[in-house]
Amino acid sequence: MSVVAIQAPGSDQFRAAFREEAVELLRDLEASLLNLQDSNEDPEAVAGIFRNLHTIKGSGAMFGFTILASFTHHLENAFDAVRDGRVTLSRELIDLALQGIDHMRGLILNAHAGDRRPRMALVDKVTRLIASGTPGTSVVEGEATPTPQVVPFGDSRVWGISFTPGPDMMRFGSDPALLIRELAGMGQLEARADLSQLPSLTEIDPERCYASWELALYTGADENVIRDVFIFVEDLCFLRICSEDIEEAVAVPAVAQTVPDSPEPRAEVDPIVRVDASASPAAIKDRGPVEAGSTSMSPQQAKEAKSYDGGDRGGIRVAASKLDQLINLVGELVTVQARLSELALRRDDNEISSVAEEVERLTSSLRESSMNVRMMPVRNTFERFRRLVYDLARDLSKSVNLTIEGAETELDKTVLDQLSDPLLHLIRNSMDHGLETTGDRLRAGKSEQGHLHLSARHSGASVLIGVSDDGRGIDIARVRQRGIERGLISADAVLSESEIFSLIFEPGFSTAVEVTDLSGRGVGMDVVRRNIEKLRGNIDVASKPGKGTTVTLRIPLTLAIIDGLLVTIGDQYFVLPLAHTLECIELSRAEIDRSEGKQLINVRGELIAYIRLREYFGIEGDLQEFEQVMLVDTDSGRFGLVVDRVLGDCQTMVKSLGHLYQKINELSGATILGNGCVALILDPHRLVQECIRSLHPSARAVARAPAGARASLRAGPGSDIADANSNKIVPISRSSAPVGA
Amino acid sequence: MSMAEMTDMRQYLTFRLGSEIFAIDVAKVREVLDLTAITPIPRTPELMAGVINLRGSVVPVVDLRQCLDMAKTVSTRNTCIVVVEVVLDGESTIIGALADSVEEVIDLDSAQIQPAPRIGMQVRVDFIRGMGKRENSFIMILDIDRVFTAEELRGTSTENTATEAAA
Repeated sequence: MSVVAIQAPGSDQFRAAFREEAVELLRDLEASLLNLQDSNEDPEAVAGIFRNLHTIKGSGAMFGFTILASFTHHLENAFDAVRDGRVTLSRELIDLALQGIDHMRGLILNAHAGDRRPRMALVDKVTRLIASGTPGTSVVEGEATPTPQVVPFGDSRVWGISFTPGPDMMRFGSDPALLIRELAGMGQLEARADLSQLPSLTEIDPERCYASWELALYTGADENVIRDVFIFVEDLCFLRICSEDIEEAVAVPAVAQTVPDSPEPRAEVDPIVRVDASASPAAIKDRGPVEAGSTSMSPQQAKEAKSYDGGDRGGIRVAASKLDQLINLVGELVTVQARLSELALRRDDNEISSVAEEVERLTSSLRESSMNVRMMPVRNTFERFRRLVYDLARDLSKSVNLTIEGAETELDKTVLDQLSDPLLHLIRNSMDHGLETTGDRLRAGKSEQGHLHLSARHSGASVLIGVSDDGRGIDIARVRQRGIERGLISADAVLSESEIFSLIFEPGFSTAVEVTDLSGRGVGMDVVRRNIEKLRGNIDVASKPGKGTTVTLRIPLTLAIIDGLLVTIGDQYFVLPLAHTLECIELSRAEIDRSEGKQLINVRGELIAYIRLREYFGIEGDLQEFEQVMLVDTDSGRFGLVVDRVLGDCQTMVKSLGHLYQKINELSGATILGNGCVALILDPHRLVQECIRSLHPSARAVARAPAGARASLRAGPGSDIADANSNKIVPISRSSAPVGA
Repeated sequence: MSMAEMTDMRQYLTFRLGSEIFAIDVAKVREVLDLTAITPIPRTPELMAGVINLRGSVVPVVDLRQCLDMAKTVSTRNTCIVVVEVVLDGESTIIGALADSVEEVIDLDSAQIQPAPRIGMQVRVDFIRGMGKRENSFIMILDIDRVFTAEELRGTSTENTATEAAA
């Protein structure tokens, strides 16, 4: 924070931090709510929800999100009532709370209030729900909304509060005026400000609060509620709260003890809070009277303070862009290090060599740990779908149980971000088409509740993400028939099961008889394939009629670094992803001559077509006596890619070719080698597809016909459909061609 | 000289393509490099010279001569890569442009710049922002954003989409 700028509390910086934190809290809230419906009334979980709501309310009010605070207050009331056993936790309440959370998220992200009617409706419902669960309406909880509300003064009394903000309180973003306003909302407040400490204008520090207050509050709220107002500034101010009625004040901690809470965390919590307090000597000095006045901090408060301090989170928040920058720098370092190693090799100087080796060792561990920083567990991505499944199950009136496995599996953040959409579509598809209604399930002799399983596990340099259901499975005959109807496959094509299943990822492909809100338009699966291809992953579908469907996504761990084989053609370097390479076969000039122009190679009895990259890429230079055929496994089958020489394996940092070259399908990027040269990274799938397309104009003609027909049926980007179409058709007609030739 | 006139003064980097002198606003120029190894990208038009390693980044290089309908650049000792920052599709992009030789940075007053004549130019008029007058010669000030967003350069994308559409 700059010294010159006056950071008013509620400034953008703090608001942004609050937003981030609040959105995370909402996510936690959602998760605990959804867990609650499974585990029924778990007092610990209810208390957790209450605490989260309270934190959002409190800090929301502090940063000027007044509407959010007052709305949250109602939800908080509801869960307070649940906690006290006045209201039972019903499904209706969970539904309401989930809706409320959505609304809160909107309020947090959009800052402005939006339409107040849905909010009022929600508040109304919540209030009625609380009322219905409370026979003898006695509102114990004080109102903390910024707008003053009338509180029944049944057992009200006067509280004397003396409040002196510490020197750092405003600096940390707390506004005493907001706190006092919140107190005013609890009842009748008389405030007297003491300005005697105010220095002359020239000496004033604008970030410091010089005033202190003596407050008299007449309210029905108990001490805890009053203390809650100050919960976030407790360590930053001098606070004394005393009641006119001493006996009542002593009784307060006893009430707090009834809050269900395990003793262990309490023991941990207190020291943490103390350590924080010791950070500011003034706070320690000020702390004494607080404790003297209130016997001790109630466990509930301690816990809340702890969660606010972030004591239970062992991490820091870093902007993703900063990480990207770090990775880029490491990438440059790797390149420079490779140059150094090469130089050392040529110099034959022991001293340089040893330094180069040391640098190499350090760089590689630096690279590994910086890549690691970007790795995040799939948990958040998976857990987010709990809500989706819950909502969908309700809308479809199906009973679905979602289980999650391997949530701790880590993936690069960029990959994770792009995984959300495909998973969403797969889950929707499973919920809508896969899982049957309860009636159908019982008739089929299955358990009443459908089962949806999300899993993640490592497999080499990839992660396998599975979405499985125990629904009715894919009707293979129907898919095949639709494929023929749509001209995607020929009627007599011999296809494997997985080849037929892969048809469901064609754009516009749907076997659904009727289009529902959720799916059936045939768009979702196409999105899945596009996204997964973008991640350089692939999809496998397995399905048994009546037993269920499993879709497995194989995703590379990271997009930034791949294992590859470095090859040369002429004087140009290329990298072939190791994941797709099967083997490497030598091809002599004599063999080429013998084959009389047929580009086929016999690999242990199997004829495999090869592509001469030198010709395909138009690279000049002398032909080698022996060339290398790299056998690659692609979606279109096995193919050989002919290169001049194979130099060896390499780990490469993938760099984008940039805007100008983004449409070059055969390449997935470039990398910089140790000698400073740029090597191009091949994309075998696309390379084979493009090559087939350019070599076989007849294959194009086949593909064009259905594409034209489609365009008249469906208004949409015709070229895209044609593109994806031909991908499918061409390989089929092609894969049979070489064998027959 | 009044303030208004002062602010109209701008700096331009001048370079030679063949016998012609061109200029680019220095604000667009990131740096000037000696010619290094350019890795050609297969299956792209000839005017897309390829990519270079610019301190660890992969930067595309374009044959500016061919963009302006001149013959292909023949590399000499004087050939340079002028690295410019242009906006493509609303995204700031770094591109290298091949120049036969880089001359100097000059100051031009807006009064010294005339609009390009509609005819009698060998370069497409819409690529020219104006003609700068210096001593007895004219310098063509290029609208480099426009040169690089032109259809011809995006030929790679349009051509490829065309084949895709046809396929």
